[in-house]
Amino acid sequence: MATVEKLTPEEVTAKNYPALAPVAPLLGPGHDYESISDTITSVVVEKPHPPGWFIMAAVGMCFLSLLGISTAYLFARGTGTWGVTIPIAWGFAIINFVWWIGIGHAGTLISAVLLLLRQDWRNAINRFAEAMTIFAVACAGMFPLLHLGRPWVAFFILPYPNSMGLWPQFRSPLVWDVFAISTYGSVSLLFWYIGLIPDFATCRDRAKNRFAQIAYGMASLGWRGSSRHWFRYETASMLLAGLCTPLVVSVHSIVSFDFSASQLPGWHTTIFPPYFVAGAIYAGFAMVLTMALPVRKWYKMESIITTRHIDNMAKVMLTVGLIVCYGYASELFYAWYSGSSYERFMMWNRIWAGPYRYAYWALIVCNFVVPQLLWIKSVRVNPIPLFGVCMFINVGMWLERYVIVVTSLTRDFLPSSWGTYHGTIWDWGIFAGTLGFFTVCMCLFIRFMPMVAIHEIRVTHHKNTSHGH
Amino acid sequence: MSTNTVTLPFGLSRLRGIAIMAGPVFLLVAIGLSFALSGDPDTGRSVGIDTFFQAYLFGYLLWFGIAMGSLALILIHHLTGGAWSFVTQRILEASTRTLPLLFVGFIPILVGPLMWAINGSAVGNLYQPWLNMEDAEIIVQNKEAYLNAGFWIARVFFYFAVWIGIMSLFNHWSKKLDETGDGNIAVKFKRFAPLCLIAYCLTMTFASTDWALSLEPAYFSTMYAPLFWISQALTTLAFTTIILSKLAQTKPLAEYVTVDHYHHLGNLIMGFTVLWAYMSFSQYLITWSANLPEEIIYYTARRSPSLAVLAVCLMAFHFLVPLLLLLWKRGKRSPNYLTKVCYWILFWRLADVFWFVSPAFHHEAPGVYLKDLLVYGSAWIGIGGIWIWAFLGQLQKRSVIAVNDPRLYEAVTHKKPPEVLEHA
Repeated sequence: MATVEKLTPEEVTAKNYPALAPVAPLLGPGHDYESISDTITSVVVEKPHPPGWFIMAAVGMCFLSLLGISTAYLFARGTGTWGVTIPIAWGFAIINFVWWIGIGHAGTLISAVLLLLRQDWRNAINRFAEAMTIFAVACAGMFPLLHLGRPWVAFFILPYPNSMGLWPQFRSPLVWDVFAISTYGSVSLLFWYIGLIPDFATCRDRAKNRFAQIAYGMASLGWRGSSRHWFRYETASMLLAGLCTPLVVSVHSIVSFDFSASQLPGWHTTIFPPYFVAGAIYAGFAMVLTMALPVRKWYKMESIITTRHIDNMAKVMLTVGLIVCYGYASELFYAWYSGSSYERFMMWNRIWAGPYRYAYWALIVCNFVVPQLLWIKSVRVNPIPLFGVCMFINVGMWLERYVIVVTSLTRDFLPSSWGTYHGTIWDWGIFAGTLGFFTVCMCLFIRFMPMVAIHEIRVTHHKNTSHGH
Repeated sequence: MSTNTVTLPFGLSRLRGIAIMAGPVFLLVAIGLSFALSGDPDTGRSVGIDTFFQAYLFGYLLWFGIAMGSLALILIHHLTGGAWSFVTQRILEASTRTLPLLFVGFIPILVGPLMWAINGSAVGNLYQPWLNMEDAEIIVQNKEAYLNAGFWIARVFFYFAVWIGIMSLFNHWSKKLDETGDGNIAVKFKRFAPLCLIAYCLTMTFASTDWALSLEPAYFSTMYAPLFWISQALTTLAFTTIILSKLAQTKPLAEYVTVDHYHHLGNLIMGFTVLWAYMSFSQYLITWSANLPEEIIYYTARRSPSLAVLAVCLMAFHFLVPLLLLLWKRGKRSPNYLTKVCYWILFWRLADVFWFVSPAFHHEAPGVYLKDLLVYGSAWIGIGGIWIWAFLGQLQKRSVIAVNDPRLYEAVTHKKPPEVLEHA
């Protein structure tokens, strides 16, 4: 028997197996260590910004203004300006909250889980995705605060000894949300910032003006790139990745408990925790690609964020999308299998007889039908159709939450409590406003911070040139 | 280049001999005990042969779970292209080739609904609560379109047709790759794996509903089937690791298996252990918190002191202890240590399956009964004896490593071969 030690890499490739057929590179040709740093830092310290960036920032600013106006009006007039009513007491606030939290998950998955799984292709997109996590969590956090009606007493949700003898209801998943999301936000922020430190130091060394040198110098915390620094950096990264990994699952599981711990048909179903986590990753990857595809084009980053990255992300998206669709099918089947008239009515109302059936079928088109195009490689590696598919998924994942929240609440157990729900202009205003906030934050991030982790791309280059040994 | 058959290490070949003798003997013991320790019908406890059929289902689900878990892991392995798992590929494939035997082994479970459909006999019938719809609650009667003997039996044939079809296809290609070294086969693996994995998930969803969930027909849970997949994968990984450690003691596998492989397997087992706990706990929390009559019956039937103790033990010994044991990196890299953890996990897999199967038959007087433990244990060894014999027989038939697979270099050296780049 031939032992593998005798099978050299040359012999393996010489066999020319199709499985080892040409693949897109993880790093474009012609790069060396210097050119990698140049390409990435030039966006921050030198390069004039393309028109696309200005358009994106301008549109974002307009929407951000809308957030200011809508919020001011809300504070002046109260939550009655929203479409919420009984029986729909949550409405857009919870829909948008869940949507944004979900979007943040891709960042943590890419940066933590893929790091632990040793997936090198994460290197070019992790920084971008982590930034999205932070901004998405910030957007999500606005909704519960605004929905309180009196956001200045939001701290009541925290358990602290007080003269009123007031404690949160620890059995409520809403309280768990507070702990889960604040932990998630803090750890994600820390992880993101630690990753940025070496790159801030690179920007400090390359900055052209004094103010930028001082700012990047302070942000880099005195990083000198010594081996001791790198050792501690790597240790901290692995530890934080280990901490973040359970958070990927726990946060959206707890968000799903907000619904599933109730008795309401359409909300109360046991598959919700993993199904919500899969949905979060699905939405998150779609949003990462939505932002990364145009930015990569504008800044001519195709050699850093290559078609291989895009292809891999599309494959992850297809996989988790199918898991989400399994959730839809499972809900459908078990509602029928249950034999419960309430469950069966809920599903019949959702898919056929109810006023929101169009939303359900639109979500099936967006989240199931259209993403099946991702089975085709040319769709996965071509930015334009891929961008289109991602937009469908972005809309579809919002509709999913809309369907869960609205169809279930409008038709609960008692026909006397049935109602209808539609978001008002102020609901839409705040939602659009958070989109603006997110876009502006992303623009500022691209403008002032290295959007790709320089040192990690250098590691990729090192592995490529040394054959992974 | 490759040897066509494998000489099993002495321990395994001796095990095979013992297994085929122990199998039928323990099945007879299970039947005998079932009659000898007959329960009292007034307490709702099983009478006569009924306990044997219940125990048979318990034992069957465990061994069947290894074969199906192997099928799923092979598909995931080809889909993701994770090269390191190649060292377990032939063990998994041998396990899947027992599916035709398992189909035959399903006959005792099939016979109840079949006899009911033919002559209305209720003897040894595991699914009486829904077969006899006249006495069933309204919520169960509403399920008659799905839960009826004819459709149920037809589905059994359909599931096995799909599983044996997928198994035959992948085993055939694997053999062909060994014989011809045709690299195109590796592409076929990758191309068909996702579709077959979807088929596995869907069929296993319905099969778990038919065979296990419907034992308590009023209850339903959307988490049940995913929990079934995860449990199967965990059992399979623990079992496969044990077999791998035995095979790797001698050549040819000894040349290929490194501590890194054990490390990866240990990590995967830890991951699936956590996933099992996550899903089990989520299902419990959601059901407990809503406290709906049609759902909470599942947990109230498991609330007797002995079953509650078992549930706590499952949390401690099926989740917490393996998790802590597998966090230790050096341990995971030691075949001896990891194998012991796998034996531990396999034992608690038995306890978990007992926890979800047995109480379904004792709703009026829930509890852990000595009679059940004896009959269930005997049936498990009985079915396992025959299954192990068949499995080791299949394992002997083919080369223990896929020497012609293009991914082998990476599997063994843990180094990527240089990529042929599109734009290089």
